[in-house]
Amino acid sequence: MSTYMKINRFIARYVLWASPLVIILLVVSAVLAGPKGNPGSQGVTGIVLDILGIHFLLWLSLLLYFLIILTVLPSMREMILTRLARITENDERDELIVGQAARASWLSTLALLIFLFLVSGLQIAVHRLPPDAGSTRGKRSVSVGYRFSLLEPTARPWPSQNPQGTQTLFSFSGLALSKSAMLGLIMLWQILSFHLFSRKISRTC
Amino acid sequence: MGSLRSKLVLENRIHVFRAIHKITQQQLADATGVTRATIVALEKGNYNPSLDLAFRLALYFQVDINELFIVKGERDEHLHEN
Repeated sequence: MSTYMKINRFIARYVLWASPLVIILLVVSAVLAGPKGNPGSQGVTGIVLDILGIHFLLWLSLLLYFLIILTVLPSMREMILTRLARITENDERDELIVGQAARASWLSTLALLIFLFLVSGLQIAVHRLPPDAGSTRGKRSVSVGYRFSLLEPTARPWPSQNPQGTQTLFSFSGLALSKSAMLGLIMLWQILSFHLFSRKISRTC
Repeated sequence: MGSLRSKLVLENRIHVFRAIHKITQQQLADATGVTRATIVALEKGNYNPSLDLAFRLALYFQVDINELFIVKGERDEHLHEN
């Protein structure tokens, strides 16, 4: 193993194993700093807060570096992500199962992404029409729309404007999930579906 | 034998040779470098080994590969045509 890989491996271990400590230290520093943040702490508390802050910055920088090399270097992906996702290939049958499970998981994730893509832009609103709106049109109306934009638009209420005299009974405008929640859901789905499929395949293979 | 484009149904006699040699599935797995689950799947007929593993098994039992793996017939499904 080259020195560069050794350093990367050390950074990966440090980032992963130090993460619980960093969270604990963040909580401790928040408690020490008090409710107002207390930026001008003096004495030992101030020194401790400074050290914790520097350590947090160092950890965050290494975390960013770690995430970049994880994206760029296939060898690091292989080393780290196979362990994190608990992918084991002990022999040729395991390799076959992993391959088939990965295919099934990829397809199920793609199906989920297509579903989320469609639902995220879908806009539906049900209105109650005013009594004098004319009996031939019924008592309710449904508005269906689709919003697609490459850049995040400023939040606009849906429906943007109620037809005159109508009352909105139901409205749905895209998914209420945040970007982080959505990405987390997809990651969780991919890992869980992979393990479910690999279990299912290993029963028949 | 019918069309060579059909998939073959293979059977193996691993459990027979294992009984002759009086070894456990785990011992065979350790000797051939696979997991016990693979030996179980092979004996059940759920899994067809690679050529490499097939030869390793035959070498371990000191038999010809044709004695260990037997073609029992053909499946209806056909292999991909070019």
